[in-house]
Amino acid sequence: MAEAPPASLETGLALAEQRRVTLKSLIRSNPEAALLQAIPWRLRVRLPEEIVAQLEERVSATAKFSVLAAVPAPGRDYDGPAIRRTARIGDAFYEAHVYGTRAGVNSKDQLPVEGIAVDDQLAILDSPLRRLEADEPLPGDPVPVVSPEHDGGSAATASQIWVSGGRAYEL
Amino acid sequence: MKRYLVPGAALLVLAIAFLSVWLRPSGQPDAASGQAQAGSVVPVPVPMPVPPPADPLRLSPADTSPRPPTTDAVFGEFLSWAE
Repeated sequence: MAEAPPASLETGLALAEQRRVTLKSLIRSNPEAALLQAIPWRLRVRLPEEIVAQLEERVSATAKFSVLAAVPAPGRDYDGPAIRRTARIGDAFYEAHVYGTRAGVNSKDQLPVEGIAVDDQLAILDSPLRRLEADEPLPGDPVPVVSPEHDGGSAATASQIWVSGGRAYEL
Repeated sequence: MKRYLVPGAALLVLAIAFLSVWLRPSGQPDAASGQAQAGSVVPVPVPMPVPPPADPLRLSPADTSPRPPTTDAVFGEFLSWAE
Protein backbone atom coordinates (compact mmCIF):
# COMPACT_ATOMS: atom_id res chain seq x y z
CA MET A 1 0.00 0.00 0.00
CA ALA A 2 1.36 3.40 -0.91
CA GLU A 3 2.15 5.89 1.85
CA ALA A 4 0.57 9.15 0.78
CA PRO A 5 1.43 12.50 2.37
CA PRO A 6 -1.40 13.78 4.64
CA ALA A 7 -2.26 16.75 2.39
CA SER A 8 -2.42 14.53 -0.66
CA LEU A 9 -4.49 11.97 1.23
CA GLU A 10 -6.91 14.67 2.28
CA THR A 11 -7.28 15.77 -1.33
CA GLY A 12 -7.71 12.19 -2.48
CA LEU A 13 -10.31 11.52 0.16
CA ALA A 14 -12.35 14.54 -0.93
CA LEU A 15 -12.11 13.46 -4.56
CA ALA A 16 -13.04 9.87 -3.65
CA GLU A 17 -16.08 11.01 -1.69
CA GLN A 18 -17.23 13.17 -4.59
CA ARG A 19 -16.63 10.27 -6.98
CA ARG A 20 -18.67 7.92 -4.79
CA VAL A 21 -21.72 10.19 -4.93
CA THR A 22 -21.39 10.58 -8.69
CA LEU A 23 -20.87 6.86 -9.25
CA LYS A 24 -23.92 5.95 -7.19
CA SER A 25 -26.03 8.23 -9.32
CA LEU A 26 -24.48 6.84 -12.51
CA ILE A 27 -25.25 3.26 -11.45
CA ARG A 28 -28.92 4.22 -11.36
CA SER A 29 -28.98 6.15 -14.63
CA ASN A 30 -26.46 4.23 -16.75
CA PRO A 31 -25.12 1.00 -15.22
CA GLU A 32 -22.99 0.20 -18.26
CA ALA A 33 -21.17 3.53 -18.01
CA ALA A 34 -20.78 3.06 -14.27
CA LEU A 35 -19.09 -0.31 -14.76
CA LEU A 36 -16.57 1.29 -17.12
CA GLN A 37 -15.57 3.62 -14.29
CA ALA A 38 -14.67 0.79 -11.91
CA ILE A 39 -11.18 1.23 -10.50
CA PRO A 40 -8.96 -1.56 -11.86
CA TRP A 41 -7.44 -3.92 -9.31
CA ARG A 42 -3.87 -2.97 -10.28
CA LEU A 43 -4.65 0.54 -9.02
CA ARG A 44 -7.02 -0.41 -6.23
CA VAL A 45 -4.44 -2.51 -4.39
CA ARG A 46 -2.06 0.46 -4.24
CA LEU A 47 -4.50 2.89 -2.64
CA PRO A 48 -4.74 3.66 1.08
CA GLU A 49 -7.49 1.99 3.07
CA GLU A 50 -9.30 5.27 3.63
CA ILE A 51 -9.60 5.74 -0.11
CA VAL A 52 -10.53 2.12 -0.83
CA ALA A 53 -13.37 2.48 1.67
CA GLN A 54 -14.85 5.16 -0.59
CA LEU A 55 -14.54 3.08 -3.77
CA GLU A 56 -17.18 0.87 -5.27
CA GLU A 57 -17.66 -2.62 -3.88
CA ARG A 58 -16.72 -5.30 -6.38
CA VAL A 59 -19.43 -7.94 -6.55
CA SER A 60 -18.93 -11.47 -7.84
CA ALA A 61 -21.52 -13.88 -6.53
CA THR A 62 -24.70 -15.75 -7.22
CA ALA A 63 -27.75 -13.68 -6.39
CA LYS A 64 -31.42 -14.20 -5.79
CA PHE A 65 -32.51 -11.93 -8.61
CA SER A 66 -36.07 -10.63 -8.57
CA VAL A 67 -37.89 -8.68 -11.26
CA LEU A 68 -40.95 -6.87 -9.99
CA ALA A 69 -43.49 -5.05 -12.14
CA ALA A 70 -45.56 -2.32 -10.55
CA VAL A 71 -48.72 -0.51 -11.60
CA PRO A 72 -50.62 2.03 -9.53
CA ALA A 73 -53.56 0.74 -7.56
CA PRO A 74 -56.94 2.07 -8.72
CA GLY A 75 -57.30 5.63 -7.55
CA ARG A 76 -53.75 5.82 -6.22
CA ASP A 77 -50.72 7.68 -7.51
CA TYR A 78 -47.42 5.87 -8.11
CA ASP A 79 -44.34 7.64 -9.38
CA GLY A 80 -41.88 4.79 -8.94
CA PRO A 81 -40.36 2.68 -11.72
CA ALA A 82 -42.61 0.33 -13.68
CA ILE A 83 -40.02 -2.46 -13.36
CA ARG A 84 -37.86 -2.85 -10.29
CA ARG A 85 -35.03 -5.33 -9.97
CA THR A 86 -33.49 -6.49 -6.73
CA ALA A 87 -30.61 -8.79 -5.91
CA ARG A 88 -30.08 -10.54 -2.62
CA ILE A 89 -26.56 -11.80 -2.07
CA GLY A 90 -26.23 -13.46 1.30
CA ASP A 91 -27.52 -10.91 3.78
CA ALA A 92 -26.99 -7.97 1.45
CA PHE A 93 -29.93 -6.52 -0.46
CA TYR A 94 -29.39 -4.39 -3.54
CA GLU A 95 -31.47 -2.47 -5.99
CA ALA A 96 -30.16 -3.97 -9.24
CA HIS A 97 -29.56 -2.03 -12.47
CA VAL A 98 -29.03 -3.93 -15.70
CA TYR A 99 -28.49 -3.31 -19.40
CA GLY A 100 -28.18 -5.33 -22.58
CA THR A 101 -29.21 -8.98 -22.45
CA ARG A 102 -29.57 -8.84 -18.68
CA ALA A 103 -32.52 -6.49 -19.17
CA GLY A 104 -34.48 -9.49 -20.46
CA VAL A 105 -33.62 -11.84 -17.60
CA ASN A 106 -36.51 -12.87 -15.40
CA SER A 107 -36.41 -13.65 -11.71
CA LYS A 108 -33.89 -16.35 -10.82
CA ASP A 109 -32.82 -17.92 -7.55
CA GLN A 110 -29.16 -18.42 -8.50
CA LEU A 111 -28.06 -15.83 -11.03
CA PRO A 112 -24.29 -15.42 -11.52
CA VAL A 113 -23.64 -11.72 -11.03
CA GLU A 114 -20.55 -9.68 -11.78
CA GLY A 115 -20.75 -6.00 -11.02
CA ILE A 116 -20.08 -3.06 -8.77
CA ALA A 117 -22.09 -1.62 -5.91
CA VAL A 118 -22.23 1.64 -4.02
CA ASP A 119 -24.30 1.32 -0.87
CA ASP A 120 -27.48 -0.51 -1.99
CA GLN A 121 -27.17 0.30 -5.69
CA LEU A 122 -25.78 -2.51 -7.85
CA ALA A 123 -24.76 -2.33 -11.51
CA ILE A 124 -24.72 -5.79 -13.09
CA LEU A 125 -22.37 -6.65 -15.95
CA ASP A 126 -24.00 -7.77 -19.17
CA SER A 127 -22.31 -11.17 -18.93
CA PRO A 128 -22.18 -13.93 -16.33
CA LEU A 129 -18.45 -14.32 -17.04
CA ARG A 130 -15.50 -11.94 -16.97
CA ARG A 131 -11.76 -12.25 -17.20
CA LEU A 132 -9.81 -12.05 -13.96
CA GLU A 133 -7.97 -8.73 -13.81
CA ALA A 134 -4.28 -8.30 -13.13
CA ASP A 135 -3.63 -8.16 -9.36
CA GLU A 136 -7.21 -9.26 -8.61
CA PRO A 137 -7.35 -11.78 -5.79
CA LEU A 138 -8.71 -15.17 -6.74
CA PRO A 139 -12.17 -15.77 -5.27
CA GLY A 140 -11.11 -19.38 -4.65
CA ASP A 141 -9.13 -22.18 -6.19
CA PRO A 142 -9.73 -22.00 -9.94
CA VAL A 143 -11.82 -24.81 -11.30
CA PRO A 144 -10.16 -26.36 -14.37
CA VAL A 145 -12.60 -26.53 -17.25
CA VAL A 146 -10.14 -27.61 -19.98
CA SER A 147 -9.27 -31.24 -20.65
CA PRO A 148 -5.67 -32.17 -19.66
CA GLU A 149 -4.53 -32.85 -23.24
CA HIS A 150 -5.34 -29.24 -24.15
CA ASP A 151 -3.89 -27.80 -21.00
CA GLY A 152 -0.64 -26.68 -22.67
CA GLY A 153 1.26 -25.99 -19.44
CA SER A 154 0.91 -25.71 -15.70
CA ALA A 155 1.61 -22.00 -15.09
CA ALA A 156 -1.75 -20.33 -15.25
CA THR A 157 -1.71 -16.57 -15.62
CA ALA A 158 -4.43 -14.11 -14.77
CA SER A 159 -5.38 -13.82 -18.42
CA GLN A 160 -6.33 -17.52 -18.45
CA ILE A 161 -8.61 -17.32 -15.47
CA TRP A 162 -12.21 -16.26 -15.66
CA VAL A 163 -14.65 -15.42 -12.90
CA SER A 164 -18.34 -16.14 -12.70
CA GLY A 165 -20.66 -16.03 -9.75
CA GLY A 166 -17.84 -15.75 -7.23
CA ARG A 167 -15.86 -18.71 -8.60
CA ALA A 168 -12.73 -18.81 -10.71
CA TYR A 169 -12.46 -20.99 -13.79
CA GLU A 170 -9.21 -21.88 -15.44
CA LEU A 171 -9.53 -22.15 -19.20
CA MET B 1 -99.59 65.01 -16.05
CA LYS B 2 -99.53 62.37 -18.76
CA ARG B 3 -98.96 64.95 -21.49
CA TYR B 4 -95.66 65.96 -19.90
CA LEU B 5 -94.41 62.36 -19.52
CA VAL B 6 -93.31 61.64 -23.12
CA PRO B 7 -91.54 64.95 -23.75
CA GLY B 8 -89.86 64.67 -20.36
CA ALA B 9 -88.58 61.18 -21.10
CA ALA B 10 -87.34 62.29 -24.50
CA LEU B 11 -85.46 65.20 -22.96
CA LEU B 12 -83.90 62.90 -20.38
CA VAL B 13 -82.63 60.53 -23.09
CA LEU B 14 -81.18 63.42 -25.06
CA ALA B 15 -79.49 64.79 -21.97
CA ILE B 16 -77.90 61.41 -21.17
CA ALA B 17 -76.69 61.01 -24.76
CA PHE B 18 -75.17 64.50 -24.73
CA LEU B 19 -73.42 63.98 -21.43
CA SER B 20 -72.03 60.61 -22.44
CA VAL B 21 -70.38 62.14 -25.53
CA TRP B 22 -69.26 65.32 -23.78
CA LEU B 23 -67.73 63.56 -20.76
CA ARG B 24 -65.98 60.80 -22.80
CA PRO B 25 -62.26 60.62 -21.79
CA SER B 26 -59.77 62.17 -24.17
CA GLY B 27 -58.20 59.71 -26.67
CA GLN B 28 -60.90 57.10 -26.34
CA PRO B 29 -62.11 56.04 -29.78
CA ASP B 30 -65.54 57.06 -30.84
CA ALA B 31 -67.84 54.10 -30.42
CA ALA B 32 -69.59 54.78 -33.69
CA SER B 33 -66.63 55.41 -35.98
CA GLY B 34 -63.83 53.65 -34.14
CA GLN B 35 -61.62 56.71 -34.80
CA ALA B 36 -59.77 58.60 -32.13
CA GLN B 37 -60.65 62.21 -31.64
CA ALA B 38 -58.39 64.80 -33.22
CA GLY B 39 -55.57 65.91 -30.94
CA SER B 40 -55.82 62.90 -28.70
CA VAL B 41 -52.91 60.55 -27.89
CA VAL B 42 -53.30 57.04 -29.23
CA PRO B 43 -51.30 54.45 -27.33
CA VAL B 44 -49.11 52.40 -29.67
CA PRO B 45 -47.85 49.05 -28.42
CA VAL B 46 -44.06 49.05 -28.18
CA PRO B 47 -42.31 45.66 -28.30
CA MET B 48 -40.44 45.01 -25.10
CA PRO B 49 -36.84 43.77 -25.33
CA VAL B 50 -36.62 40.00 -24.84
CA PRO B 51 -34.12 39.00 -22.15
CA PRO B 52 -31.62 36.30 -23.07
CA PRO B 53 -32.54 32.76 -21.96
CA ALA B 54 -31.61 32.11 -18.38
CA ASP B 55 -28.76 29.73 -17.63
CA PRO B 56 -30.39 26.96 -15.58
CA LEU B 57 -27.16 26.35 -13.70
CA ARG B 58 -26.98 29.90 -12.43
CA LEU B 59 -29.33 31.29 -9.85
CA SER B 60 -29.25 34.78 -11.30
CA PRO B 61 -27.27 36.74 -13.91
CA ALA B 62 -25.10 38.04 -11.11
CA ASP B 63 -24.37 34.53 -9.84
CA THR B 64 -20.75 33.80 -10.66
CA SER B 65 -20.38 30.77 -8.42
CA PRO B 66 -18.41 27.88 -9.97
CA ARG B 67 -20.47 25.28 -11.79
CA PRO B 68 -20.56 21.73 -10.40
CA PRO B 69 -18.02 19.48 -12.10
CA THR B 70 -19.26 17.13 -14.79
CA THR B 71 -19.35 13.38 -14.31
CA ASP B 72 -16.28 12.85 -16.48
CA ALA B 73 -14.41 15.52 -14.56
CA VAL B 74 -15.16 13.87 -11.23
CA PHE B 75 -13.84 10.49 -12.37
CA GLY B 76 -10.92 12.05 -14.21
CA GLU B 77 -9.78 14.12 -11.25
CA PHE B 78 -9.80 11.13 -8.95
CA LEU B 79 -7.91 8.96 -11.42
CA SER B 80 -5.33 11.69 -11.89
CA TRP B 81 -4.82 11.82 -8.15
CA ALA B 82 -4.73 8.03 -7.75
CA GLU B 83 -2.28 7.38 -10.55
